[in-house]
Amino acid sequence: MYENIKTSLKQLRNVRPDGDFVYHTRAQVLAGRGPRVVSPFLTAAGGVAFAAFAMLLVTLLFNPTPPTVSALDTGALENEFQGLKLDLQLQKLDYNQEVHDTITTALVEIEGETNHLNEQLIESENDLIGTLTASSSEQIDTLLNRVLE
Amino acid sequence: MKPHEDKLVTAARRGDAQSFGKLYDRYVSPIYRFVLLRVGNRAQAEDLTQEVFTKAWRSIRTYKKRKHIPFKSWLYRIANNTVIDYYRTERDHADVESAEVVEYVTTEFSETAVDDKARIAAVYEALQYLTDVERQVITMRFIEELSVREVALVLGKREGTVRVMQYRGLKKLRTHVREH
Repeated sequence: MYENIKTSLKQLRNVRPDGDFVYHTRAQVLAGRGPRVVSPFLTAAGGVAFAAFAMLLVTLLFNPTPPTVSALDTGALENEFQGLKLDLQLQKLDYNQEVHDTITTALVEIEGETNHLNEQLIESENDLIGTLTASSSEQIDTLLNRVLE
Repeated sequence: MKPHEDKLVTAARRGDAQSFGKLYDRYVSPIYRFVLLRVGNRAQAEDLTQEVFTKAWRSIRTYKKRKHIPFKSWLYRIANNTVIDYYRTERDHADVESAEVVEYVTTEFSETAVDDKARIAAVYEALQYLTDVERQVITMRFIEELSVREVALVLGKREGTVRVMQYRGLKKLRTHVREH
């Protein structure tokens, strides 16, 4: 019985589509959009790009401290900015002190409180120094003579 | 796959329409029969057959020989999915016109004896009592003469499962043909 059924089934193989249908469908199918053929160059370029992206991804995934670009690190930039500000303030203070001293000296000189520019005073001081020097020599000689005696 | 067919497939994958045309000539009848015995409507079978080959031509680059799937199985798989989609979306319109198809089928055997024609018609009608998957297995195994492995690849099932389906299908066919 199975053989009869199998034979009958096999005879159904003679069922075929209409000739016109086969012809027109063939033309329509082949006129339609076929497979998208990609050039080997584009395939290779795509492969390289993918490999680069994958490497970047792996690096980011397996690096415990993700790499940061120092120019974009806000913490470092802030510290650097604060240091810069402090340096500027110190330099300004030094400059102000120097200016102050210069002005004070100039004012004192203008007011005539300095003695080193007064010629008479210098001459009197010279005399005094000479007197002191002379008297000292005599006193030393006297003292030495006493010792010798 | 035959060596000649292998070359045709390779050329078609590179976009050679002529090679795909030859593959179409080879498989349009089996695919049409496979679809017709599922949907039971000639006009619908023609539309779906065209859809199968349009899809196959468009996506032939996705067919890979490395998976060891014969081209024939790949094509039947597309046909199977197309019929499933058809039933999913247009089930209400999928009236099985058995009488029309039986008449169409038997006219193909004008030279055959009357008894034979009656038996073929009975077998065709009995096929309608099978579950969809049993009908697919019987159609592919005994009408299109695919191997058990090829059928398993089309349906995405194990070879053992295909053998069980085949046994159940034949048993049901025998019962219904006897009753006829």
